Amino acid sequence: MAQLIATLIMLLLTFVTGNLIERRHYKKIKMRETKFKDMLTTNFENIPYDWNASEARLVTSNVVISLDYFKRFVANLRKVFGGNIVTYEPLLDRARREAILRLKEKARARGYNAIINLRLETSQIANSLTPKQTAGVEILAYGTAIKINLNNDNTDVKIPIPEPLIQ
Amino acid sequence: MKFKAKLADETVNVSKVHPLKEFTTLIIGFSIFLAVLLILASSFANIVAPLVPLKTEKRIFSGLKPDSTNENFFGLGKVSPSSELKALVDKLAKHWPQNPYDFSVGILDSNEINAMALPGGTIIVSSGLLDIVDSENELAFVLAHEIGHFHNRDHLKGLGRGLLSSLVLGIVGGQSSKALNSVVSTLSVSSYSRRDEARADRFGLELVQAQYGNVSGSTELFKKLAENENSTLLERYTRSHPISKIRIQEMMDYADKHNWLRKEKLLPALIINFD
Repeated sequence: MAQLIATLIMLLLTFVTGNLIERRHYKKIKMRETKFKDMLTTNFENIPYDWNASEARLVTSNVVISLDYFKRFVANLRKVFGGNIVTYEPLLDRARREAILRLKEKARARGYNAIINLRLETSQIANSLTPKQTAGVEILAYGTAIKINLNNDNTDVKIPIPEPLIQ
Repeated sequence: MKFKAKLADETVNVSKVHPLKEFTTLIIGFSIFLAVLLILASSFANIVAPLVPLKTEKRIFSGLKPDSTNENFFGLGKVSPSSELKALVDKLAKHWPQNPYDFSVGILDSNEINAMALPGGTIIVSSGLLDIVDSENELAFVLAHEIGHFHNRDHLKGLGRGLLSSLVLGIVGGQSSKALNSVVSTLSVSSYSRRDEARADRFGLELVQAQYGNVSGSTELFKKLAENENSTLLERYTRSHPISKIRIQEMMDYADKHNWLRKEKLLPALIINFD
């Protein structure tokens, strides 16, 4: 009985704290996304020939976001029946957006104004106390930061439409 | 194509389901699922456990006898063997013609009022129970009732239910199984069904009648328990023995049906030495 009460208290507490942390994170993410929205970021591998790029450098960023007790509990129940684990979705979303934002922040701080060849990867280093359970989500983002001449008007950058592959 | 600054797409990656709604749906679904599984498991145990041959039961549990050096017998606590109680049990068991058990009786050091039948022929009585018993007849019925559980092989049902329920919880529960296990074991596993208890009561009455020529004092303990029954609903539900008043009535009816005397003079309480 004591264990059940402890579980219920943990669920309630971690629901509140997890929700609070998530809301604050989303608020920050949205603020920064607005701030960085004019930074050109693409997954092209090469710099298009007409982009007057002057400098290039590898930038990387990574993010580790932990699950909370409530999310894991709900997910464990979900695992019995199958279906969308909705409590994990915001976690993945937050980690991905946070990683891209960090990449952009890093690039801008070093004086670059665009990123090409953006790649996202996920790895798992953190394990929870119980084996075979995920402790959190880890996203690694990397890309090539470049300096391009925007002629003080970013709408002048032409983004080439890739030619379709003919096989 | 020109570059246009855009904000990230908010629409697809996160489902618009409130986590609490998800939680409630899953908890309800999971409880129903678990309840069905546990009911299936315990019905299976109820059917299969009594079929375990006596020989097998003895072989598995023969080593499990109360021993005053063992500080945690069957996970209960310290249980010291009692020769006085064993003598009384043997006296009663003589009236069970094909008794296959060699009973051993132990006293559990506990303030709770409890008695139980363990596989292999071990009867445990709590020191709290011995404290409130006022006559030999009263104690004899408690012991005869436990012998009744052996007669009906209920002790194996309880064990089988416990094992299967733990198995079910282990498979299904994962992380949450520890918490669930504690609840389920108090609610269903450790208890006998009311029908089992009533059957053991009837068998107990038969033994007591055969030994003393009357069944006086048999309901005394339950009357005392009934007086103390100001407990909460949950406690009453989780108690392994059904509500005392109903049991007293059923026992008296059974005795009257057989014209057994139930208002004779009671024998004085046995003197039992225990730590």
